[in-house]
Amino acid sequence: MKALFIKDLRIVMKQQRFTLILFLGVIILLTFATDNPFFGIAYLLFLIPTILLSTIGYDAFENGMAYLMALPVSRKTYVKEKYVLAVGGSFIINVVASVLTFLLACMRGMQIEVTDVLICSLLSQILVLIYSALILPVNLRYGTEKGRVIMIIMAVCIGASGPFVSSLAEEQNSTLLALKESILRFGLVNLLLAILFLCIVFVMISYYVAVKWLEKKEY
Amino acid sequence: MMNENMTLGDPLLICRQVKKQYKDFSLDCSLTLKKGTVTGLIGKNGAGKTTIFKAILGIIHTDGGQMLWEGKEVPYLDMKSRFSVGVVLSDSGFSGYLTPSDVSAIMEAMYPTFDKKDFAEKCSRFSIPFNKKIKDFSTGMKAKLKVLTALSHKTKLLILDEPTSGLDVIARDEILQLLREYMENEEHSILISSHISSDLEGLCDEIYMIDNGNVILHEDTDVLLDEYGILKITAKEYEAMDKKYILSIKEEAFGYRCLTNQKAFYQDNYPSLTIEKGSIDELILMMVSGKRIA
Repeated sequence: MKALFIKDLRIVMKQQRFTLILFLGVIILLTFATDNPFFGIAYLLFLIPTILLSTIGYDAFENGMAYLMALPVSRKTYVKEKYVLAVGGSFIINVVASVLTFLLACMRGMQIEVTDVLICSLLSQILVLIYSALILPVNLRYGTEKGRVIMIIMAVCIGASGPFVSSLAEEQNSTLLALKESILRFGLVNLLLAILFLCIVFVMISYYVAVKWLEKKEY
Repeated sequence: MMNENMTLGDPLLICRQVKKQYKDFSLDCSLTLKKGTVTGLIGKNGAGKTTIFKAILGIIHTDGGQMLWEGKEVPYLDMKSRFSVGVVLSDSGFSGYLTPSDVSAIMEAMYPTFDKKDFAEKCSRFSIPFNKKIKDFSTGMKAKLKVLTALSHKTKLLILDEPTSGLDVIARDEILQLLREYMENEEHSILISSHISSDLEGLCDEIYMIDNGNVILHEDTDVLLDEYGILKITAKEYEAMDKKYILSIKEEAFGYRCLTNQKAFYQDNYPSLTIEKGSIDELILMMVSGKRIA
């Protein structure tokens, strides 16, 4: 797996150097240009999957996957490396973004609590993990081009279901209120940790599905 | 890792009726690779050479048949054995966005036996730019890099799918020379495919001819070159002669062109016949486009 990490990191540093510099620039700019210092942390929601998907695309470039599957690298190891890259990579960039956001906000004289940064960071991490858990198996099975189309369709479906969910929420007003009260009693931190746990379970299911799909694939 | 107890000539890899079904193509192939030998697989484009290699390497799934690696039945070459195997695929390699320097770092992390210094030296010897992206290489450079990568980690077996395809004669000769040097060690073995017969003539100990997914001929290279021949005869001569050693025939304006695996028999018994020593290309032509008798 070490060899796969070296491969991906070397390609990312060559090909995505501009993206990473842009990311840093955006955080700095948004921290100084807006009153919302947390936008930078949320921005990594778009950055991590983009960088991650690009490694799958680079591997597939000019039918490269056939050669990778001929090396002493099992398909399970290949998938594991992508997930470790997603989880580990998103965590590292999340930490960098959070620290940078906090420092820049302090430099700007903004009133910012460490707890707020942590909550935003945790929320972003959860969303990145969910998104990665959705796109990874799709892209491993269908390739980056078809995978992108499938993700757009999924996003449109989720967006289109918004008005329906809202109307449902209005109708079930009393149920929602009761739910809200239960959550408040449970506590925000406990809730986020519970969601994080569910998220980890979801990532593990996604990994299992991705391994099964890749084991069936031919190159 | 490979079994060190195997002696020269022992079957290293046996494929028994390995099958793969595609929409317009079907593979049913049997071959044996012996330790310490170079086994060639020759056939036209689309004959099934790459398909059998991919089946051996587990890149595709098979639909039937049996594969034995060092006497043990396997679905494909297992992960442990791959550390001793170098691979070249005709239509695939490391990502074009990597450089040979990146390849060196990846190989060093992947193979405990990778020789970093030797790899760098060989890249320099074959004029491969170490810090240039592979996608910017010429066809010849890409092919050479693939072979050098396969040779870089003290392998016992090379599986080479058309390693000289698309190369000029000088580049091809350089690669073939590397392979000859590799085979100076009697412990080494090569399974190589090509549609360029002259590459295999001087390198292989035995040759499998493959056409339309099936092996149509299997013979030692020496026997192919010494005992096989092409008879150019008239229709009358064809009617009169003993045909028991005729493998295939092709109708020509002058009569018939016949492939035989017993050239000496016809030279001794029919001295008036025109008999030529066939090249492997001509043998393939006769086996593929001629009417098979035997």
